[in-house]
Amino acid sequence: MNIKQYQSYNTEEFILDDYFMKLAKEETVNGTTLNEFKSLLPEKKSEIELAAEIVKQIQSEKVTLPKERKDIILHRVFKREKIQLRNNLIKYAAAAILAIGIISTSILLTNQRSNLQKFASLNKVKSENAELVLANGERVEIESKQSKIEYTPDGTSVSLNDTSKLEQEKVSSEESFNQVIVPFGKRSSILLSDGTVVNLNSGSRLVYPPVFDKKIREVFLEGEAYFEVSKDKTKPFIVRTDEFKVKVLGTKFAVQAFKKQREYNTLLVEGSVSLSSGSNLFSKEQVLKPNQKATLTNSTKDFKITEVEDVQNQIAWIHGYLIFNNEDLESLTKKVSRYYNIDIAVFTTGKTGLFSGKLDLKDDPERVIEGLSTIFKVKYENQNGTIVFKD
Amino acid sequence: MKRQDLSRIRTNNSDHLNDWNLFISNGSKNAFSRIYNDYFDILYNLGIKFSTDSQIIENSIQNLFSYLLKKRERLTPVTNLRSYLIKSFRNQLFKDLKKQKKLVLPDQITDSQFDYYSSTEQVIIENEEIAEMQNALKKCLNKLNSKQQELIYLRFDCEMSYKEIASILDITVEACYKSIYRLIKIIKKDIEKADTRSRNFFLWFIHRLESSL
Repeated sequence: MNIKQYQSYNTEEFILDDYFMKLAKEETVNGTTLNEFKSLLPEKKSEIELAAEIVKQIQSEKVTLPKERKDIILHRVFKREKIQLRNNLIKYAAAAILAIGIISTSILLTNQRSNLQKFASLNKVKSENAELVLANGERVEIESKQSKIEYTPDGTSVSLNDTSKLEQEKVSSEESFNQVIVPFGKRSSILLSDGTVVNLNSGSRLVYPPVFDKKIREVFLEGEAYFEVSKDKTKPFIVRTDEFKVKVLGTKFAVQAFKKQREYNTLLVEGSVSLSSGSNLFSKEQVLKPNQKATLTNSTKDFKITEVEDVQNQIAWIHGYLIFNNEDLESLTKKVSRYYNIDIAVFTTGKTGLFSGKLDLKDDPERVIEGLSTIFKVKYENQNGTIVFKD
Repeated sequence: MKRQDLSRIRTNNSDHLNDWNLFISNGSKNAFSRIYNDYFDILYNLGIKFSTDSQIIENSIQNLFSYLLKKRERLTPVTNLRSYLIKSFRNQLFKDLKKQKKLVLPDQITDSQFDYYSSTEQVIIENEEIAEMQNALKKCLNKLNSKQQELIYLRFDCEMSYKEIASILDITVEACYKSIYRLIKIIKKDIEKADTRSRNFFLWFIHRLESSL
């Protein structure tokens, strides 16, 4: 600091000076106090006093958002959520375009939609428990976390968890369908009439005919399932989702069709499958090899192929486990969050370490959350239904 | 909020630069979260100079950090993270405000609109006369338009150098200094013009200072 330069300063210049601002705000800079500074410039006393007071007072009003609010915004950043425009005009315009879009595509596709798809979209069932819906519309609740449903080859008799037997009349697969709905936190394995085994993961729904008497075997899936299709070269097996279909002859593969998250994956374990997306007019085809995963891209409806090393880990849920291999808390919570359908946010500052091992899906979500908090040595709390992990 | 809360984030804070490098090179989520948490208040309080709609400011902050996350691989090391973030945030905010056509005119900004989120740690006003001066200053600051409030904010709340401010606003250092000088002149005049009670207070205040020496 060169004291001479200040001898000609007016109040404004003091206020604008870097050194003076620091001195006025902090009272001491490098051992010099404001009072000492003032005594060095006796003729500038009143200027310095007014300037110091203004510097101290000039701050604008501060606003602080609650920590929770900031966390939510950061959570959205990580989830890559799009911001919803609040401009009403834009909203209405978008709704109008959407309505036009729906009408025109439904005209285009009416002839191509099979009875199965129509049935699937018209007969949605919501339920707290797992449910089996029979051809006559009868709904059977299944309370167990892990259920087993088995059809006889003619599709008229269904056994539930090896304990109870249900009978239904023989109907053509053109007319009516059965469906299984599995809520979050539960799973079900279904032996279809053709011998195909479908493991239905939590939060999923499968629609299928009790017996496959058409030229093709066709089922409809929402959510995630693992298929072990019984071989029948004369009748291809088709898994339809709302966005694409998988055609196979006999093989093992997993399909994910999460409409809400817009995630569509197919993972091939054995054999070969062919995938197609879009309407018949613009369909895109893709053949998969074992240990490959196809992800449907949102924009172009193409399939992106990736090689998968740990196929068995990815489908470990069918055995009632989630298997983790050197994964961090974020990656773990993503899977746990999907299985139990709970929102989980991670706000830890330091590294949480990596975890390898398996998680028993028979446990309640509360126990799993508690376990994660112990393993990773982090605290957690429930913030309006979202579990938040923090240091 | 305490005075130091915004200015403590200094230009060359090596922790922040380190976090930034961790983020752009390894995609460290923890480093990214730390940057987010440390700079949120600075950006938010700059935002309220331009809009009274908290939602819009929050959205712009979300947009900015989403952008950083998305374009991580294209980001480069910076020497002054604070200036970089403020500059990027301004661009984002102006873009968003333009989109929403909600660029708020300065006269629409009133104190009451901030009551809901107002900090609880407001400086305790010990003395009625000091409150008087604060009032005069506050009134004067509220009369300033958004850009002028921004200048005051960057200089006196964030304690930025003229060079930093000039680079954020894309003006020369001289123009930056002159603009702030002019603002201070207005403010000083306003305070001096304030009612007799305040003026008397100043005399009394200065007298008290003198006698305490």
